[in-house]
Amino acid sequence: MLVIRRRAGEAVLIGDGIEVRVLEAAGGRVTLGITAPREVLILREEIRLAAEENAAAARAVTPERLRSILERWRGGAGSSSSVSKIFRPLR
Amino acid sequence: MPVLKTKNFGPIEYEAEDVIEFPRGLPAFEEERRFLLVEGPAERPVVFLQSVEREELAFICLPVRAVVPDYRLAASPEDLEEVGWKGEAEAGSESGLLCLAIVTVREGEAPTANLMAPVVINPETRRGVQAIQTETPYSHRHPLGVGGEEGGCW
Repeated sequence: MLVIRRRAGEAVLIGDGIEVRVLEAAGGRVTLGITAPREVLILREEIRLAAEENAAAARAVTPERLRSILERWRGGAGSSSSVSKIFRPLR
Repeated sequence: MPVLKTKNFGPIEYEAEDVIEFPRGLPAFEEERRFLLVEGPAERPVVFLQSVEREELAFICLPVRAVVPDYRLAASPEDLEEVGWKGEAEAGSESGLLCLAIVTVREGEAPTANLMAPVVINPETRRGVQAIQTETPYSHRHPLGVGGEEGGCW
């Protein structure tokens, strides 16, 4: 990873046409101003973290795992029959 | 009454008004816009967010306050507008917004709950959004204690 120190008001340039400028740095927070071509997607990292967690969470749900998870969490109370039969829409 | 075939829970009967619309889908699942919340009495407080369009897609969820009793929601005004919410941003029954943390289970690890980006549902409008919070102290991988470390909610 390239590490560059910048002060408020200074910038770095990335490739052709992307500028990241430090507008303010105070109290453990940094405010960035980003100039980039319209086609460049800029996201906060939290979106990617959420997407990765969602993908991992969706993989976790299989009938077998669900059963073992529920049994473990509920001390054996979540029997397999309840998984297949008792579910219903929540109002 | 329509019946939804699901891979994990078998067929589920539901009514059209049970469907919750996610106008933007969920991150990594942007095409999935319609979900049902399903619960089983034996699994409370766990609820499942089941896709109406993909029978194999479901998420294990927990109300955020079953994980952290004094959880504070810090959803953006845009996200609250998305679900048609005009009141205060507050997680809990008194506010009327339903806030759920998606649970992830990884092989050999304690389950975690995504408290950074809760699923926020307005029961009045039946619209939902996954609120990506940027001003929040909560982790996207909040470990869930087995056996009630979090105030005995398990």
